[in-house]
Amino acid sequence: MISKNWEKFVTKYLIKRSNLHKNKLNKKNLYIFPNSNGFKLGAFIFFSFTASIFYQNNVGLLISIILFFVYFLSIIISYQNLNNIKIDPLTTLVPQNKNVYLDYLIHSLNDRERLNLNISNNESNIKNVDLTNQKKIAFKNTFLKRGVYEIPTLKLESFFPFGIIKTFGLVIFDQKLHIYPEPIKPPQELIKNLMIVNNLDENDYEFDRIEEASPGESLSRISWRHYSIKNKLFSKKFISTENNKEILIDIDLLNKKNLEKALSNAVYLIEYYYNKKINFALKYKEFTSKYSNSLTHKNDLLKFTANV
Amino acid sequence: MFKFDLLNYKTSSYILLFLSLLTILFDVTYLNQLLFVAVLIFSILQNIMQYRFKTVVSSIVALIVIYLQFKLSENTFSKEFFLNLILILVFIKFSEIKNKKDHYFFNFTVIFLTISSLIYGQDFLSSINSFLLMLVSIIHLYSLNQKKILNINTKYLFKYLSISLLILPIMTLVYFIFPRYEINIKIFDTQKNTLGIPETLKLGSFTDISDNNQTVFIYNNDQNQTSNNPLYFRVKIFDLINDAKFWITTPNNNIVKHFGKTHKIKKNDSPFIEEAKILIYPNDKTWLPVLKSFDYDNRLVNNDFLNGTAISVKKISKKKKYLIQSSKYSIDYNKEFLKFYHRLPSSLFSQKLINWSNELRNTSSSDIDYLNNIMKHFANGEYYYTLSPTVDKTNDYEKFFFKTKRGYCEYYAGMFAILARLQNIPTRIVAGYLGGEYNDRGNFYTFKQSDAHSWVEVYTDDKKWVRYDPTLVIPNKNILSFNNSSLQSIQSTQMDNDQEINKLSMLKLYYDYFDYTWTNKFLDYDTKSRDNFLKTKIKNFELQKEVYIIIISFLLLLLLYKFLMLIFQRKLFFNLFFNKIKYQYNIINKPLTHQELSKILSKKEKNSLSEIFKVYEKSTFSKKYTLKLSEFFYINYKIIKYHYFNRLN
Repeated sequence: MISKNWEKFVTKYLIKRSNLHKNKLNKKNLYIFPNSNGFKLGAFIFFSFTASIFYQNNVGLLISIILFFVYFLSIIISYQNLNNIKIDPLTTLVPQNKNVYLDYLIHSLNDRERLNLNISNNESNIKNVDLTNQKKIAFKNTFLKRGVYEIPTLKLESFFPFGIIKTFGLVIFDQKLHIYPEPIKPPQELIKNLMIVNNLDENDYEFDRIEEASPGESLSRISWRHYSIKNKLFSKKFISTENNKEILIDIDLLNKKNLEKALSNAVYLIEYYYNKKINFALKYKEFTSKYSNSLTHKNDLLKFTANV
Repeated sequence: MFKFDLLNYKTSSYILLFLSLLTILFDVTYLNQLLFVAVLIFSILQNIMQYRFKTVVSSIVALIVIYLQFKLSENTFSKEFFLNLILILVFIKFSEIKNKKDHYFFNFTVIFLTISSLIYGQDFLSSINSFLLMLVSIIHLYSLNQKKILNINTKYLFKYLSISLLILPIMTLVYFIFPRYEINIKIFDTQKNTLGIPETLKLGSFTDISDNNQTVFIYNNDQNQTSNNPLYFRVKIFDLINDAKFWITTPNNNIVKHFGKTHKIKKNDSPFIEEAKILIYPNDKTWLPVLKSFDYDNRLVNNDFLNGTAISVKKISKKKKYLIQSSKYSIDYNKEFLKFYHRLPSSLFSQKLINWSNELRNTSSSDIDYLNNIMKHFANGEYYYTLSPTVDKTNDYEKFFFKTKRGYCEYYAGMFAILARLQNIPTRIVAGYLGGEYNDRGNFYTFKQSDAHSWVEVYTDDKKWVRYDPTLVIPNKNILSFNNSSLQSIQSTQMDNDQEINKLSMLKLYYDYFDYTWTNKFLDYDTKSRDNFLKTKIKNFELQKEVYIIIISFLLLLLLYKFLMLIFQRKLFFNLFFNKIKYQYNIINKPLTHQELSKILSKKEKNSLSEIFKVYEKSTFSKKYTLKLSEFFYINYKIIKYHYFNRLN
């Protein structure tokens, strides 16, 4: 009971301190405390120290002084094991209702080796890490609600070196976690309805290759540069692909009754067209995005769906 | 790169187990040693095997072992008994180890054993053992928690070393200055020990105590290096024989009550005072050994000038160093008082013995001649020295004298005293230690319990007590068995002089020497030594100018180093500068940039401080910018002037 309340109190205080020093673990938000074994050993050393004084036991006195020193040294070493660590979250965009891995990159800000760090994002999910320069770790998570949230705080603990001193700290992140709706495949008819094929000019066709010109070909497609070099007629060939299509994903049209379902369908379509390398845009009420097929575009739209 | 290879925690727990055994093993009887080894084997087997009801088996074994230990400790709850129990606890805990938590408990129990075992003995070997135990338990703690060994970068090695070196001043400070108290809480007495001399002397009373190789005390005389005379250390005087033919010590009170006016204590005027050191090993008794014509120079020791012995006020429960010096007092005996020393209930002895004595006296020219003749009688080849004479419960001296003729020191001393007293010669028996083992490395003598001896003192016409040691006249060929190593060496001084000392005894010699130095220099430091140390240091402190010079020069060097580093790094005091502005405008807690700050300033301030702002911008934001030395001094000067003296120009 006491330990639970104590832990609550400490965590509350830790969060307050860590909020001031986001993404970092340094002397400002790092705490050192003996664990139960440490208390036992400390009390025992103190007992032997006093006993040595009372009995004028010189060897005992020296041994207890050395043990005291080892205790003191283990506080310093344990502190150094966690001090000056920076953590950058690599994942900031994840789908709802799916098992996802949140990646973090841990940096040791000085080249000191760090051993036996226990990193956890909740009590059941603990990872043991040895760190030299930087290391990537991943935590499995499932998020049930879409939206924008704080990235789960990481708790770092170290019992290094003798298991008697616990150094711990919380890392709170500056970045936000966007949880977009779970992608659900919409009915096939809806997909067809969305397709808007644009009749594009020839000029918009993409250049593909050079071939030897056959008689009767349009002179506009002859590559005169190649003719000047090789003294032969070559014609430029163009291809027309589906890339040239542009698709507008209108959330309002997907499902009029259920917004969540409509958003899920939209997410599916965003990922689908992104993979197919077709330019797409998203429309929701007055908002209409630009047409593009880039990763940033996709992520922006996914973030939009998380926020709606 | 340095790599410290630490062991696996299972291996280190085994080392801890064996070292724990070594802490006590040599201080207990053979039977107890056997018990410990048996429990050790059990605990190792139990640790390896996996089966149900392990704890039940361990508990049953623990109960049996506690009972056996109680029996082996002679049914007493002594200190040793509890120390042995801690060792048994270590074994049992080892047998039950399942997880890391158990390893912790095991480790802490071992440290507990380490410290408590030191309360009983802190000799050189056990101290090394304790330090080793401590080291291994630290390694064990590390290996319990870590799978990997820390690679210590050479860059940080100096840092770690310097932190480790912090221990030295801390140790010195705590060791020399920390208060020490002498509180001997006697909850449990030590086990019945056989060190010392029996309370009464009868035939066979030395048998139990002489078969013991424990060290009793160490004698060291720096002034008088090696003397050829054997060392006779007095412990007790037996001056009265009772009806059961037991030699007893008359309490001093009784002597003063009856013969108070018949003897006087007078002061000696000898200008030369000889000093020597005695290091007593703990025996939980009050007697102290002393050389003839020597006294203890200690307020807590009562010197008995009448008997030439000494008694400590407190029981000796730990190793203690004492100083003895030539006696300043001597006793003037009256004839009346001397009669006390020839008291002998004549009815105790047969006419045969009285006749034998009278005949010898008649053939002797004087008392001295008579005593010499007794000595010659013992030396005639009929008498044998043996440690196992036929035990006679009737305490019959005559049977020994006329029939068995086999005995050891107390037989001969007792018989000699009876024969002397039969002719009214003042005699007393002295019991103590003879000889000792000389250590030429440290110039000291180690006296063991087996060196216990008894001899006779006779008061002669020269008004002196003269020593007669009838045991020494027994011919070499008649010595059947002996414990007292010095006895033989005294008798045959020249016999084995050329014998080579083998390596093992050399090793022992060195070990004894180290142990003696360790005890003398380190363990003997107690409350009194600390007080003396502090007194001398504080008194002499003013004289030690060097200390001041060293401290001041160190501080100056530190200051110089800081100043040079400041110049070298071209560190400007911008913090002071910005804080001053914030303080002036009462915006201490607001996080403002330098540009925002400059906007707040008045025109006059802006003009005069603009240089500082410019330098700040350049030094913070431009990588190529290097500050000139003159600029460094100028800007810092300006900042300081502004900060401390509020001056803009």
